[in-house]
Amino acid sequence: MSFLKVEGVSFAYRKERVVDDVNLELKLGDFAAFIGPNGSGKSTLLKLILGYLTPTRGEITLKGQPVADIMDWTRVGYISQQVKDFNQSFPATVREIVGSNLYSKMGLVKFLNQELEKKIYRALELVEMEDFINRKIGNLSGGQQQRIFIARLMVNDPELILLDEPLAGVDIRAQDDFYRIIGKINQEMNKTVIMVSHDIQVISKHANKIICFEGGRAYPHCSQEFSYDDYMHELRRTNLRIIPRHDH
Amino acid sequence: MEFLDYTFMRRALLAGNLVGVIAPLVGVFLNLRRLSLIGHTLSHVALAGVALGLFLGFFPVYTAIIVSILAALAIEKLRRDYRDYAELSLAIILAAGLGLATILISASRQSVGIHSYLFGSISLVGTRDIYMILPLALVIIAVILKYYYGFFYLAFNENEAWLAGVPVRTLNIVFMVIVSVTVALAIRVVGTLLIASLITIPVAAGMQVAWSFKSTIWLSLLFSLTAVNLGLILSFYYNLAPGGTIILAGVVILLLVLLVKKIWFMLRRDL
Ligand SMILES: Nc1ncnc2c1ncn2[C@@H]1O[C@H](COP(=O)(O)OP(=O)(O)O)[C@@H](O)[C@H]1O
Ligand SMILES: [Mg+2]
Repeated sequence: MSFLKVEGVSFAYRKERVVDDVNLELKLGDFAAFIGPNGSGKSTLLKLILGYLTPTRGEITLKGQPVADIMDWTRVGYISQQVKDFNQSFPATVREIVGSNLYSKMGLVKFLNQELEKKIYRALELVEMEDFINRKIGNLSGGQQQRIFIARLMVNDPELILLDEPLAGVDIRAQDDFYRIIGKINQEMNKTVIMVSHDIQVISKHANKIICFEGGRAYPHCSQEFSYDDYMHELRRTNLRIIPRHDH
Repeated sequence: MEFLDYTFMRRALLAGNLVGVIAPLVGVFLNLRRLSLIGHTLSHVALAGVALGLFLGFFPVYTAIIVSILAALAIEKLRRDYRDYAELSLAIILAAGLGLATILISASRQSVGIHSYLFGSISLVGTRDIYMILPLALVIIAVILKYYYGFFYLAFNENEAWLAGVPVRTLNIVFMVIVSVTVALAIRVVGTLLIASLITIPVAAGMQVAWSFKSTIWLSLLFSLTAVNLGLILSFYYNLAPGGTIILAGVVILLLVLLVKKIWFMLRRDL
């Protein structure tokens, strides 16, 4: 049985299909990369997998269960493309930010107890940020904040992790840290990960499946229909930033 | 401590301290969500509620509560349905509230009492007010404690709070009701003109020096209660409107906090 199955899924916000007859299968422990130009439907497919949007056609199942029936949102950990759009002067500590994601695990009164505090600490250890637990979120760098957001989803021990362009605007060194942590979550903890990235060269070193998007269609392994050269050409045409693997 | 000998002053202090607790509690979330204009709007709507009560001969605090809850629910609906016009809808409701208040006050025969609702009054806080403020303030505190991390997530990132299982729609409505009741209850103590300031100023001071969300709340409470008690006592001895003395005390605290912070940074730089 496949872990995640996307079968003939289409979706339209208005008339025009932005996800068009997508088929995709992932096994437990896969690390899949979604790449493709802006507007090709990557984010929309993530929201469909999350169950936030409902397909107009087709079905998505997680361990055989339709995602539409999953009411526990925390089974899937998701970092949206807009995650950084918060008030940077917000007076909250890392502990409070990570802890807030345990909302559904808090009791009648929505506060943190000892057991939940431990979960926060363990999640921060995982992203190697436990020393920052009492720091204000706005005082951290972009890369550190991104790791806090990973910890925030890991506190709930999700089965599937969806990351939408988490490395946009993060410098190269922080990217290495990020991939090391995602690698740990993917390989040691055997979590299935889907990550959207524009940096095909770097992500193809880490992911075991590359799925290319164009015009709402997904091409597994970027085979036949969609070649690597096509993709690079498209990247250049749409003026997207390409970060070289070696910077010399 | 001569002021404690007077029953009206003890009542004013009790009402003032209760309002001094709920105003910054609500205010922290309101300000961080950048919705402080809502407090401003609701205070004008509450004035219309007061005027309606004076006009019809009901206890004005009752009508103020009902009218501001209705307005708050309308604001929440407009905020959800017309995101791009949120500010415009607030401006419209504020104008309508103030217009209505003016007409009702001028049409009312009892308009002499309006003064105390505009600027607050310590001698007019009656037992009836206490019976109203005490239970409602306790309910508001309980609701904020119960949904603490839910309101926290809504303040941090309203669009993504559902990801953690926060019931966004319900909590938004609960929050708006709490804000409107707080505004209506504060009328007696600071008056409609200065409620929005009581909700904002102590929180602004708290945010200057806070190191976490929890400390923001505690510091805002500390500054708010200091301002309320200082203001009420000054108002007693110098026979001034309490709304003004409370808010000015708050402003002085905010300025002191800014000054201390500045000196602290200068000292640290020199070390
Ligand atoms: N909320 C929305 N309402 C209407 N159209 C949308 C919405 N979100 C995305 N789209 C459109 O759907 C298409 C696919 O968008 P998206 O999935 O975000 O692409 P990608 O993540 O690959 O850049 C684009 O044409 C975009 O304009
Ligand atoms: Mg996208």
